[in-house]
Order: sequence, then C-alpha cells, then structure tokens
Amino acid sequence: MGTVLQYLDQEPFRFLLSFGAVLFLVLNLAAVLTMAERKVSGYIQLRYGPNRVGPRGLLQPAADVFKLFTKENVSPGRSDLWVFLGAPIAMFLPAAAVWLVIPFSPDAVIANINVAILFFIAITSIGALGVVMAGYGSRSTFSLLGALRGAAQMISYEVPLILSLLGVVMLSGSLSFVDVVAAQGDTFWTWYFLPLLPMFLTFYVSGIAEVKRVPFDLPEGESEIVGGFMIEYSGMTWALIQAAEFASMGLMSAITATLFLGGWQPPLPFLDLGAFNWIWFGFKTALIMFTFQWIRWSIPRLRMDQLMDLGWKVLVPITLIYLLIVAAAMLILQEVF
Amino acid sequence: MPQVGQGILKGMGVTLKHLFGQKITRQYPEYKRDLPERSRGMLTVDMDRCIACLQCMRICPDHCISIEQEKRDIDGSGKAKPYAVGFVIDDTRCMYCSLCVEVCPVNCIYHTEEFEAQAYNRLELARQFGERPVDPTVDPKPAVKTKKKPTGKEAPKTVERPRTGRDEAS
Repeated sequence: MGTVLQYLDQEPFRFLLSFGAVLFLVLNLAAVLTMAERKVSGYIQLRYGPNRVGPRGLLQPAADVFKLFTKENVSPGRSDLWVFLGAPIAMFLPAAAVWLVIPFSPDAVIANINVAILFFIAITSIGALGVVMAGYGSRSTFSLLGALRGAAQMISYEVPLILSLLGVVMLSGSLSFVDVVAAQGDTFWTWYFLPLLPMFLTFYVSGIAEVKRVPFDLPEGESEIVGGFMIEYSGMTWALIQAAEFASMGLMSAITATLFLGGWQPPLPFLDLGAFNWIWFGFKTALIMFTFQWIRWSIPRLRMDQLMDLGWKVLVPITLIYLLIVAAAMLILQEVF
Repeated sequence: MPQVGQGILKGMGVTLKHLFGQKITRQYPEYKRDLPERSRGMLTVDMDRCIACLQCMRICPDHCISIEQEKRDIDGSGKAKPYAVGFVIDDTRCMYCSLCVEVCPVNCIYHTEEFEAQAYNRLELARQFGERPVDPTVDPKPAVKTKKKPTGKEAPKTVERPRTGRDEAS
C-alpha cells in the first residue's frame, strides 16, 4: 500500500490525480452552489425554493445537470464557432486552475508554490478573456455589449483587487498562501481582516465585481441586455459558463478566507482540530459564499457610471492611502520595538 | 457621511430576517385554496334537465359546444320532443365567458370549480356528456333559418356566420 502511494506521489501521476480531484471538487461545488443559490434566494423571498426532487429538494443539482445534458447545443449561424465554443472553456479553466494553489490545510496543498498570489492574479485575469471571447464569438449585439461591459469592469476592478493584496504581502512578507496563512496565527484578532480592514472590504467588494455577481452583474444585465455575453449559449456550453461563474465565486471566497480570515487556522487556539483543520477553511469559505448570496438578493444592480466611480474614485484611493498608512505603521513599529 | 451604507445595512437586515421567517408559499398540488364564489371553472352539463334547445351552442363565441339533437319521446307523453343524444364541450376552445350559462333556460349548464384542464391530446379535453360521442373538431353549424321578408322584394341572403376554412373542409 505504501509503495503504491509513493508511486502515485511521483510527478506526472501526482499532478494528474490532484487535477482530477480539483476538477471533481470544482464541478461539484458549482452544482451545490447553484442549488444553494436557489435555496437562499427562495428563503430570502419567503419562498421554499426547489423542494420537489429528492428529500427537501436536495437532488435538484442532479436533475439540473440531467436536463442540461439532454438539451441541444445551439449556436448562432454567423457565430465564430471556435471562439464561441472556446469561451466557456476559457472561463472555466482559470477558475479551476487557481484551486491548485489553495491550501486546504498545512499539508493539503497541491502546489505549494512561493508565488501563489501572483499566480492567482495572473490566472484570474484570463477570465476577462473568456468573457470577451463569448461576446465576440456570438456575433450578437447584446453579447458584444455585455462583453465590453465585462471587460471594462473586470479590468477596472483588478486594480483595487491587486492593490489590496499588496497590504497582505507587506504584512506577511511572502507571496505564498501557506506562509500568509501561517503568519496570521491561530487567534482571530491576529487575522489580517482586522489590521487591514479597509483592504479586506476593498478586496471583498472587488472580488464580487471580479466574479460578476450582483450588484456588479452589468455584463449579464438581464433587464437591459437579456443575459449579456451568455445570451447565445444553450445546453452544456451555458452550463459550463454557469459552472465557471460559480467556481470563480467559490474561488474568490476561498482566497478571501485564505488571505484575510486565516485560512485553516482556528479562531481560538483551543479549537484546533489537528488534521481536520480544513473544516475551518471550509467553514470560512462557506460563510463568505453565503454573504455573496445574501448580498446578491439584497442590493440592486449599480449603474455603469456608478460602477466605475466606485472602482476608481473610492476603492483605489482608499487602498492607496491605506497602503501608505500600513507602510508607515510598519516602519514606526519597527523603530519602536 | 455617517449615513453612507445605512440603507444597504438596513436592506440586508430585512433580507436576513426573511431568511429565517415564516414562508408564505402555498404548496399547490397538495394544498388548494378555496376558489372565490362565482368563479368560472370548467363547464359541466346536467343531461337530465337539458331540453336540447341548442341556445348554448348558438351563443358560444368559440363554437366549443356541439350538440347532436334527436326527436324522442322521453317523458312518455306520446309527443316527440328534442333530445340531446350527443353533447360535447371542447375545453381547448372554451374561454369561460359564461354566455352559455346565462342563456340556458333550464340552468342545466354551469361552471364547476375544476380548473386544471391539461391533457396529452387535445381530444382528451373534449368532454362528452351524451349517449353518443360527438366529434368536437367539426365546427357546429346551428340551423340557419331562411325567412323571407314580407316586402316582396328580392329575397335577402341568408344570414350566415362568416365562413372559415374549417367550414369548407367539413
């Protein structure tokens, strides 16, 4: 048994196995999140949500997937077919790939690379490419409008996102997720969301914008551009876009939990679960996912100019000023102690 | 400045309260609410009272009622009276205008509280009430009376319903 495990721990098999595990995780996460989304929306609107398939409607994701598999995949006659079909993949793969560097617990991290934050920034930027591909490849006016909005929004909000990460990097002195989590300690007041509160809020808000969720879902904009870049998709390509959206939503929650809420660290030292500390990571991630859904069903969509105002005139100055404050505080504390 | 974000927090408080609040959904197929009085459900006919006067068939704007009439001595009085051997109500055409209910002289056609008119075949929705089934797809043609005007001039054309393609086919 030991020898088999050692054999599988070698490089090509290790990568294939872990990528398969990550894909399994991400696809199931997307399915569960669609279910959770509908349940939460129902409960918030004083409804029950899906409750017909299986006990309390828990088999609804299976029914959804079955329905989507049986649907025909239609593409517009004038569409640029390769770009059109490549767009969902270009949206889904980056969201799945970043899960490779997320530390679930000190030992359970697939690729413990020392530039994980850089990797996260670089790979999630590809998501904007997928949106533009979808809008261009569909060759439909509403699609193109949605894609242009999406590109403008995702590129604008990348700036405050990266700037707010800079505070984490300054405090922890490392670009590795494992080091960042280890530097946060196992008491909840030493986690970075308290000393870096404005940074945390900025990262949270621009994270919502980055995954194109309400109140920043202008690229989708059902009421004005009836679905935006995903208007022409149907069947499994549409399902892949949805999976990509939910996977990146889960990813943004996981990154927020890792960087600002102490990853696998327990909130108080006596709550340490040893090898089961990934439960804390999962709990924090699920909590942030829930707040994403809660916000979605509470706050109306922003206008385009309000969106740009919030990004460039509020979030970027706040992070820039707070970066200077953090730098000054670090310098003074270094002098004093 | 102190008011920034207060509306958002208030709204999110409301949604959080609703998240744990009592749900108001009525689970439809298990729970059916009482229909209001005089609500118009699917039509039904009391064939014992029907005198086959064909008024409902004539007044129906959608031609959804078809009646096959026959002279028959039903009450043993020795006189042959009109009798509806076939009576069909096609619910695919009915628009619940209630004109037939108003026009019926013996109140034998009336609305029920049934409203779930669904079937896999449109013929399943044509409900037969008589002894013999009537083809609901054939447009019923009420007998047209040709009456000459007493002016003695050129006889006016018979008053007919505007003919449709269905009439030609039948």
